[in-house]
Amino acid sequence: MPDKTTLKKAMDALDFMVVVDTMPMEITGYADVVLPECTYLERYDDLRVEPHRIPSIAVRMPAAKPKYDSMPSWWMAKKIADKMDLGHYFPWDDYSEVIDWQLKELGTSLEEMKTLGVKKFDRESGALYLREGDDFEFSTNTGKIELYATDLAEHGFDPMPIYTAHPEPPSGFYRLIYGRAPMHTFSRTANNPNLTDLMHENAVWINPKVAKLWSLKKDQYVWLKNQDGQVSTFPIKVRVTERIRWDSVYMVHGFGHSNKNLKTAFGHGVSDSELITNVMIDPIMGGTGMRGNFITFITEDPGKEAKL
Amino acid sequence: MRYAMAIDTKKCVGCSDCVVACQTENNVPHGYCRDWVVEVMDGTYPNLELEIRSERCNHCDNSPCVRCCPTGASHYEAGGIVTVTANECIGCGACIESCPYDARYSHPDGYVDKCTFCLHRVEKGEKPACVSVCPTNCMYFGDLEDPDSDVSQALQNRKYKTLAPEAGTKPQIYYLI
Amino acid sequence: MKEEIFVSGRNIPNIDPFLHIWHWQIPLYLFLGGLAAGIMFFASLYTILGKEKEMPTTVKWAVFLVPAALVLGLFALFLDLKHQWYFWRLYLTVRFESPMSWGAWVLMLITPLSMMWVSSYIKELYPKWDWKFEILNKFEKLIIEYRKSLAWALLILSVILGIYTGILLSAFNARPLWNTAILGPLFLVSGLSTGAAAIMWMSKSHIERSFMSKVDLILIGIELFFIIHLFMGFMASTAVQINAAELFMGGQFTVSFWVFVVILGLVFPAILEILELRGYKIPVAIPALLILFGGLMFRFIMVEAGQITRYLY
Ligand code: SF4
Ligand code: SF4
Repeated sequence: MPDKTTLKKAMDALDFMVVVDTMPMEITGYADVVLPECTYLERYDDLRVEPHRIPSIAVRMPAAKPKYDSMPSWWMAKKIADKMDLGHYFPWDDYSEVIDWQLKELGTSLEEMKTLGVKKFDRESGALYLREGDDFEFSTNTGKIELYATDLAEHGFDPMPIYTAHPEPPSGFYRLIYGRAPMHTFSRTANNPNLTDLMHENAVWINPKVAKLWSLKKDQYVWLKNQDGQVSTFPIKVRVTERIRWDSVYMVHGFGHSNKNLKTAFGHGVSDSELITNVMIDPIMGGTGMRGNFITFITEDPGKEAKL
Repeated sequence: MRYAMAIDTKKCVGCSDCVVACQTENNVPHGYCRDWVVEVMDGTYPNLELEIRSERCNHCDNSPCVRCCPTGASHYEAGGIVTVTANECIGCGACIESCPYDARYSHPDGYVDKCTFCLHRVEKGEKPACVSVCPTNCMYFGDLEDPDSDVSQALQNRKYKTLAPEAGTKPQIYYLI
Repeated sequence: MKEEIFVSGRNIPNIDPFLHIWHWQIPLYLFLGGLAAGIMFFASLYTILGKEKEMPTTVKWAVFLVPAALVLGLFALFLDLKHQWYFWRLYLTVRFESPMSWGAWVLMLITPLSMMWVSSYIKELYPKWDWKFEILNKFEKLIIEYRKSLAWALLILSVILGIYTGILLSAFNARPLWNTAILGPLFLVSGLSTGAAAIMWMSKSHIERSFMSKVDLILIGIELFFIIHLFMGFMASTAVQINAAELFMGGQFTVSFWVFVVILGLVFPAILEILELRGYKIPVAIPALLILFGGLMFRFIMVEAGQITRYLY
């Protein structure tokens, strides 16, 4: 999550916070109640109904028993409902009964799906591809593919995209690019012992030219400071590599956890979210852009003076 | 029969699923691994070339590790799979020194441990754990002497290499390039 | 820029980032093996040549060190084993392709034989010694009677042992620094030279001392020649062996090797020995100790450095 300070304010304003998750995360530490959920391999989940190119339904079924005290979320909902005297809304004992009923409505059954896993259906909404000569109308004002979006024009937006220059890094700063490592799922697996064996901290990728300019060496630790003066809580390892441009740095998301209860993950690497204080929002469709943040390097421990 | 593996360096994304699959399948102790992933990058931005390789014991045809073992703990199984019998191993470390690929390690219990091509699975007709979990399907396993096996098929249409062939060990992991 | 990394975070103890599976035990074992081989070689050689009278220390007294060195060496090897209580597995099979195996067997033969040798001289050292049992007395007589044959056996075994200490390393083709045929002869000569130094040190007869000192000078000469040859071979070889040689020519082992092994362990004692032969008074302990120290350092450095060298791919 970017902009941690705002987020924390929002959380403090809550009366009560429940976290339901399969793995402990930073946010778990803020919860009043934690309900540990079992993983997708240990529970039934709602049907996946795909009306796409080839319509299909799929059922997720438990492959193993839940470990420890973890429970499927339907169980939690039902138990809470029972406590609140709303139990009659859940007229079943096990969610598989609901799934079985739904499947029977679709002309199959849990029994059959257990052998199939995924069931495919024939298309009913017409052919997959347009054929030559077909009369087809798109769902736009003109019925055609619109390069000039009349819809946007009606609402007073640019009907054709107009180039807007994006913010450039001030001198001595570098654009912060973040991304994912294939071995971790967001930040939630940072406390998993097997996966931390693969990667236990992130590194800041720096182009050799930049490294030379700053006299940074491979595996050296640095602190990062962004354009708003936000300094990273922990230091991060330098990786000097040609895999990044000279005006940007890169780091993997999901590290730099500052909750001591995350015993494995605590204090390894830097959290990119912490440094993302500028979240830009696309005025038309509301999408967010978080690559407009810039960082610079600090080679001396910025906390040292505070500690003295 | 000659078991071998072909690994597509162009398909591999370096997710290391093969590593975790092996660790859980074979109870590899924490901090150790029987397979690992190497990334080699060459060039100057933006003209870069990247090779990602999932590496493990090469089950060499001419294994120095089997040769130098003083007790016979390191030996060939059917199909050329190289394994270590834990209760024959004295932990002298000779085989670790002899392997050009650093594919062996000293298990905390004392004996030497390494990739077995998941012999226990292969015997049942299954694929090694790493091959079976690879999300990009970039590993092919099978009998090189059978022209229809996955590995023979994979090697038929592609250029490939082995690692450090000059070490003379005749490695049996082929990297598609 | 070329970059090579483990994306899976591999960091195995004693293997990454540099192989370091053999610690102090193996070099010590190699040193003691070489020393024992050296002493035993001269003892059996001069017995065969019938020089017991002129060379009493060589033939009799220095040999008392041999079983001790061998037992200590075997103990060091034992300490190196990570699966120690399966030690006996070494002696259930003979594997000719494995230097470790035949080394273990040679030690198994040479240790009791050297003990027999020592026991046959024990009465000369302690005239009051009594074996207590009649059978042992008979056995002693038998050994004394067949001393020449025993000497032949030990002569051959000691050469094998001396070469073995080098071949143990050179058989590992995965470590470019070790993978050279010259290592066997080099370790043999170095072992002989440490053996000669030990004899020199123990000997009380001036004639024997100066004789061993001359022998030692020749051995040091050969050793220096082999060392030069070793590096010439590397420099004319493949990239990995050139890299290996560079560890000693500007790399991290340059000072320790050239200063401690070559200058202090070979050249300096050689100069001292020459001066002594020319009639200068130099306590024999100094060159002898330096040679022993140089031999030990040599093995430590070779084992350490060799493990760092590897194939590149
Ligand atoms: S890769 Fe190493 S451990 Fe595996 S067979 Fe070859 S030499 Fe032996
Ligand atoms: S460590 Fe074990 S497997 Fe390896 S050579 Fe020694 S006895 Fe054989």
